[in-house]
Amino acid sequence: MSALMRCLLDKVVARRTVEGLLRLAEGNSLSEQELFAVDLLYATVEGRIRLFIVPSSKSVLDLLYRLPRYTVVIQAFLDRTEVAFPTRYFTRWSRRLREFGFTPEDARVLALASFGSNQDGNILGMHWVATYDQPLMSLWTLKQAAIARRLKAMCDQIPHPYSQVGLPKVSKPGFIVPEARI
Amino acid sequence: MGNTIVSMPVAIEQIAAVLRNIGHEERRRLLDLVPELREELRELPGRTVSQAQESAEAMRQMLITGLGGEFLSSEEPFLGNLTLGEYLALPDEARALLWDQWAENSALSWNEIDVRTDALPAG
Repeated sequence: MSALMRCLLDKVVARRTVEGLLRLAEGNSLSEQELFAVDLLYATVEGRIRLFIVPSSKSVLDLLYRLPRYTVVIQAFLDRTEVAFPTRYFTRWSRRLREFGFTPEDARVLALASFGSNQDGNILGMHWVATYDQPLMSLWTLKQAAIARRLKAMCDQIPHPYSQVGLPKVSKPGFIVPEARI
Repeated sequence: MGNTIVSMPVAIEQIAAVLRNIGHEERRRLLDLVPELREELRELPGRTVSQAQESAEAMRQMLITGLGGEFLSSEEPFLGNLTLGEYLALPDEARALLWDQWAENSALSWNEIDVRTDALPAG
């Protein structure tokens, strides 16, 4: 098992990364968001971080992968990311998060960052969520203490290893790479 | 009473000189010993554009090598009866909508799985 930092890319960051790779392969320049998303992806090449995507992002990539001309680009992304799968208690935690005002989709991403694993089930949760969603980041920061108390209360009632989960840090891609380098 | 002032046995510049020469593992160990440093580091600015551009350039080289030295054409057929150029020229909201539509028939579900009892927590 690896103790590397683990980061979940929300749907938009995953899309920005893929679009950034497509623009690079087309010989074009990137938007700032695409640039920092690709930069985060490149951190995996240097072995500084493990990146995860939500199941729905993988579905789109599978469709693109079937178009032969994009295989190299999509493979470059898939080689550097893993799919995060919801674990037991994911649904319960997602429901709790919605009570703090998160949209259903945001709540699922945040819940997956605590109650998410890889295909082998040998990890539990992420250190980071990468997002460009400013309202999501603001609400997460604003409600942080209350969310932590709620998670602690839930963890007191569930078995090991689920009782060991924590809250991820939520940030833009460009602010995740520096810490992962330390 | 005011705070007790403890004199530093060495100058901060000397400590910095030592830190510049220690390895990755030792830096991690240092953060374990002085966790307050993590908080300070969080306030640091993120990656610079030039750092990110270096990464992007390396990725571009990797992709172009994989593509046999040829760039993708903007006329290349893409999903949704669009060309690559047409897709990338769409407004962000339109691309987001398409991405959602393409993900609708996801083969991967959000069903919960069990992890191993020795699963490594992030916390």
